[in-house]
Amino acid sequence: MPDLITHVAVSHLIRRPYELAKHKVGLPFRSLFYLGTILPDILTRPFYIIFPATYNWTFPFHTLLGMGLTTLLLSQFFDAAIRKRAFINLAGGATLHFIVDALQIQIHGNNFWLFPFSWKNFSYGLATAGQMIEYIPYWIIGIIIFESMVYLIRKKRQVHS
Amino acid sequence: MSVKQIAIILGCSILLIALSVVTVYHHPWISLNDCYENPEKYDGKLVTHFREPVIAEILDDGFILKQYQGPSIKVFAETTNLKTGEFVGLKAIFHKEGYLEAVSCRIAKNRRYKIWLSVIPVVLVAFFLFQSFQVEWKTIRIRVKDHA
Repeated sequence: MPDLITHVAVSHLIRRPYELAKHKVGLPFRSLFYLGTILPDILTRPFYIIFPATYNWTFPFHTLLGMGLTTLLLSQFFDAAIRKRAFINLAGGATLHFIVDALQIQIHGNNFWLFPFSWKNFSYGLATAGQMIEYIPYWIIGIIIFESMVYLIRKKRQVHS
Repeated sequence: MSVKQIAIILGCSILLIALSVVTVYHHPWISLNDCYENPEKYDGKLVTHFREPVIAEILDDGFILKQYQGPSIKVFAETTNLKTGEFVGLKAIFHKEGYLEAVSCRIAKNRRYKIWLSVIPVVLVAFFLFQSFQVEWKTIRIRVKDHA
């Protein structure tokens, strides 16, 4: 899996333009999308790094079906008026997580999209997790440039109106 | 909380437990700990899962692999580019005599940074969530804060 900065940076650069295009600006649902994108890792990694024997037990949380069930479960705790949007953002973020994970070179499988029906590993091996870390500064610069452009465009529009 | 919501929570929980049980009893990978529990069964098999494996010592013909909360083992491997104290990504054949023969082996570059850097977005996302949502504990309901 790539580091979580890469996951959140990718999710920001995908979710934010969508949000701006749809004129739906709002931190709450975007932060749920971010949560979705880090959820598969935070429900597994800390447990098996500290308690290695839990690896097999926590594994389903790092699968599409497991995450679908988890996000459906979590969304039940949201107010009825926002439950559907909460689920869509959590599940959307989680799906993006697995797409980004598939870009990583893996020494052993970790991306079983069809679990529990198949153990086929979906990996398209562009870079190792260690190599992806070296791109973090570029992600951060990309976000700063993007947000600066959004800020300047908005300011210009305000002046004209 | 409605009956439907409770049913969904219970249903999802049961299915998640079932998925965990499926993984525990039917996973395709072999871990080093599986090998230690049953050396005869796993003799000559490919081991892919280790508990936070670190290179403890480099030898002329391989290295000593140290696991977190697990036993250490000798690995016969090409040691070029390997460094003591580094995490390692390894696929190796287990031998019941108590050693491994590397099939593929490479340093898990930047793994320590990866773990610690990943804490930053977790804190950031937690901050955004606390800024955006509040929990009504009486009804166990999360709703958007008025000003968010």
